[in-house]
Amino acid sequence: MRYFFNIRDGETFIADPEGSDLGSLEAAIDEAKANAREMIAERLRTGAALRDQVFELTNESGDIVARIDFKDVLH
Amino acid sequence: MTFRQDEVGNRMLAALMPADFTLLQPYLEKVKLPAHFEIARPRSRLEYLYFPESGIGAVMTVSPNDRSAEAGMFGSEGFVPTSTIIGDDIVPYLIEMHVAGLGYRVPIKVMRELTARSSSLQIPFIKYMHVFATQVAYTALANARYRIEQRLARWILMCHDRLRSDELDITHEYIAFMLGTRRPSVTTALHVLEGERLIRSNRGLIIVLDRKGLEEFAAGSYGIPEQEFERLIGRAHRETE
Repeated sequence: MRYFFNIRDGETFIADPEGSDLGSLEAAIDEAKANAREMIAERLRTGAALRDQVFELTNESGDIVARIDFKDVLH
Repeated sequence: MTFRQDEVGNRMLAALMPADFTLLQPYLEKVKLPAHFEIARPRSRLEYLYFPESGIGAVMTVSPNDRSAEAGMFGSEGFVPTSTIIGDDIVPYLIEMHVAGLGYRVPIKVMRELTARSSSLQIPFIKYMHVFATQVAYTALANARYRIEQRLARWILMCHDRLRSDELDITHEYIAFMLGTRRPSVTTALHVLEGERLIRSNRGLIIVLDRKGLEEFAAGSYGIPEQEFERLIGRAHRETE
């Protein structure tokens, strides 16, 4: 299955133009969490303020299959 | 086949003293350098050194458990592997082409014999070794001290230097691999550069809109190795003309 890791950041929407092949929705959610942790880590490392970002995972038909809030991946 | 020095598209070959180019010329073999072509695998014995005329290649550091990162980029300005100039034929790196191009190759054995015959032949190559080391040093600086958006700007500039086109046919997945980061970090960083009107990004295509702006954005992570190249190799060549 191909999953797209789009990001919603307030008013801004950053579409994932490529997507990744992953075995299951569970694997896609794990991938999204790892992505979010890296992006948070990058902001912390460079002293930038954290943002309220959310991964909106979509499948090949464009349906939203999961929402992963960046805030929730730190626990 | 014979090649004229003023017609070769590789700046190392162009920088040779005419007499040294004449010495090397009979051994130059024109070759295709397709994408994914492996010029060197870690710790395997090599037969040839390569002088690209086009395309982009990368020197990748690979750990025993298969972690890898780009250490340096090369194209028509350079030659690989640089260690062949000390006569060595084994490298610890993976050196491969990522954007297809053309180039020349010369047997390492021949290069050893010719450098023993002419002391001036290896001067441009030794200078390039230093320039390449400078580039790797700036990769270390960029990785340690710069934001992902700045590292991406630097990387796009380095590709732009070598492709002679404003359109770079490169996926986010590939950039992420080269920068040692995850794909969404690249997508987001491209979005930032797009917001600054420095590039435009379509699926698999990055269009450079404002090169000067990208250089400013890269904030010193880009430029010094390129200046070193011009100071040591570009200018030296002009003085011999």
